[in-house]
Amino acid sequence: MTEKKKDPVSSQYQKDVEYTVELLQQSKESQETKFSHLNDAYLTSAKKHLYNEETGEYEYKKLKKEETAKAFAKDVTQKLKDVYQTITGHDLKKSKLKGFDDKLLEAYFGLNSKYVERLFVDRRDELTSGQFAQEMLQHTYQLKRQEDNTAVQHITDRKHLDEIIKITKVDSARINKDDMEIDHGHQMLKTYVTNEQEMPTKELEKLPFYVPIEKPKGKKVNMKNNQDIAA
Amino acid sequence: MNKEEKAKEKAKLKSYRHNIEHAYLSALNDTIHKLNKKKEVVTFKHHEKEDKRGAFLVELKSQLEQHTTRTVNILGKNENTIAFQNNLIDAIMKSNTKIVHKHKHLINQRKLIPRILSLIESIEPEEE
Repeated sequence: MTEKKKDPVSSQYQKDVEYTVELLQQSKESQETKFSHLNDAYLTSAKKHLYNEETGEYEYKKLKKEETAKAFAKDVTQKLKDVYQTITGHDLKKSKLKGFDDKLLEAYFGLNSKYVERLFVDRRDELTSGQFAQEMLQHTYQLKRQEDNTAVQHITDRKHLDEIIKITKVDSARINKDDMEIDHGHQMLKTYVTNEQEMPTKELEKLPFYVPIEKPKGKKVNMKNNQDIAA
Repeated sequence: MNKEEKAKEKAKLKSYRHNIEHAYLSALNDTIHKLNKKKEVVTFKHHEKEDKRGAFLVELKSQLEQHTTRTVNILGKNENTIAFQNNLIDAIMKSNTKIVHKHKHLINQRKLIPRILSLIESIEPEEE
């Protein structure tokens, strides 16, 4: 029995697509993780700087003082650095380069100590936990979009489209491949990963190359209308 | 109630809402960390299973109750404020339940937080 050999070129396209799916999946999970750590850093710092033990109230008005806002921001940054160390295993203190820890923080969380300080000094008591959460949801979403766009960058060939159709398990009768652009392939992969590696029909229907299922011909004859027309 | 007293009440309510937001975010954070085995990685993948969604909601409610034990003091603890807080917690949980069961494995913090925060903002205490 002869074993069917795989074409090395098409196998490379398949690998590219599989790798992209993996990157998109990582980007999706890392958005949740990053937001959660940012939120956690705020809540931890708030417990230290804003919580009134006697009343049980978080007093945001304390952030009106610039020194409190700065101290709050410093603790947020420190907490993020601690998290970064735990996640990556990098000891930030080991680096002798000045500001290197900040660069790593920026690469991972998309913000550095200066940014965090400015955020708190500018917004002061307006930056409640709710406001901070909303801002960080937006921030991590932008980060995810950038990561997603980087992840799909090496999908550049029309041959990748065949692999994308295969991996997303889309019925080839439902799409007109000639109308498909590379960007559409990117979009399909992003949608596929967002939907827990499924391609929902309602998402597919939004794409310009979707071929709708033809409805069975032959309408019901409405006798009353026919009579009206005849009259 | 004169103008000054009204302004004070308004400020109290504003602080109360911010504290409830804080309590919700803390409860959500604690729930996520408790239910995710690895603390460094957060995922909602497991929410496809109904029992996991149920466990998430039960834990969230328990955390929310813990984080709101003292918030009612901000408004002045009495029958009315306790009833208001209980209604608010019920509304928060009802909305969470709806979102979690609707979106199943597509649930994430982006879907939950903005909706709950606007809910907290919209519910008014009943006039005495």
